[in-house]
Amino acid sequence: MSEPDLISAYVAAVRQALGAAPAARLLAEIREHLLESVASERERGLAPDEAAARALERFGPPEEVARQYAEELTAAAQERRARTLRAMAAPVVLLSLYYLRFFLAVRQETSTLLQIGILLVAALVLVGPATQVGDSAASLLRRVPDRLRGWTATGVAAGLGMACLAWADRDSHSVSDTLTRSVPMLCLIGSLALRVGSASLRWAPRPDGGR
Amino acid sequence: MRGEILKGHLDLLLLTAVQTRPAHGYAVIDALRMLSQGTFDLPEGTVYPALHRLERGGLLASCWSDQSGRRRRIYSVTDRGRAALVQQRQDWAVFSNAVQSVVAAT
Repeated sequence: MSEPDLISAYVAAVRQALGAAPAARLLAEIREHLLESVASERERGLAPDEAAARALERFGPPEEVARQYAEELTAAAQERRARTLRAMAAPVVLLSLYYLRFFLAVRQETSTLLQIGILLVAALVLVGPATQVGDSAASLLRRVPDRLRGWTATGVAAGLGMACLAWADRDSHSVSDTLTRSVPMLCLIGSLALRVGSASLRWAPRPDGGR
Repeated sequence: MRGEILKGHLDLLLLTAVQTRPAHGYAVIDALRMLSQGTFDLPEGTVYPALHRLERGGLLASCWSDQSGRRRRIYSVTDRGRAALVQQRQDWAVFSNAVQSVVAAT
């Protein structure tokens, strides 16, 4: 195999080992690094194929490079998700203030206080530290195959949401009444689903290294 | 040197390597190897995830550069990175002095 072919094959092996992970920049950096490394080895007097073999050996096995990069991608993705979740907590807190205003100005009912509490818990779920319960739920979700994971989480959240709506609609007088009663629980279910979905996010390199 | 020992100090080493002038990954690794007289001969592929992590943490910045027909990603230390480097150097001085004291005393 010629020198450019060896480098292309190595980059392709890293790409395959990374699976669907976004890695265009890393792969471009690897290619440039290997070209530079081969040129440097050739300046030291090695033949082209020996120089390429030496450069690849120094760079390390593609599976190991992919594994370490997958860890970095996972950390980066979870950081972005955490920022998004924190931003989503703001409207939930605003909603709880709306319910508080209703409680103070219109009707002083225990159920409204409970709804305010549920909304604050939903906000806490979005911004709070990871919990054992969340991690356990996330590890359960990770057992579901990748392609079904999103559907599974959406299905569970939708089922719980429908159950919540049905409960709120039992002796409701109007649609707005149903919504007012169910929105806090729907917020909590959505927050839990987002948090568990975020914790289950992992970029895992293919165990066979893409072979 | 064993990889796991080096891994714990990789951030300090990488920040130090690019603090004086911006450099691409290959030059960073080459500088580490030369400055350590061959002791820090790490698997080169493991350095890129670390560079990306430091960039994500705001300690490094990077951009593509075309020099002599070759496209390279150039890394430079940010202000936040310089502050982190000062702190990490202090931590390292305390740690290495303590290890040296213990080792020398036994």
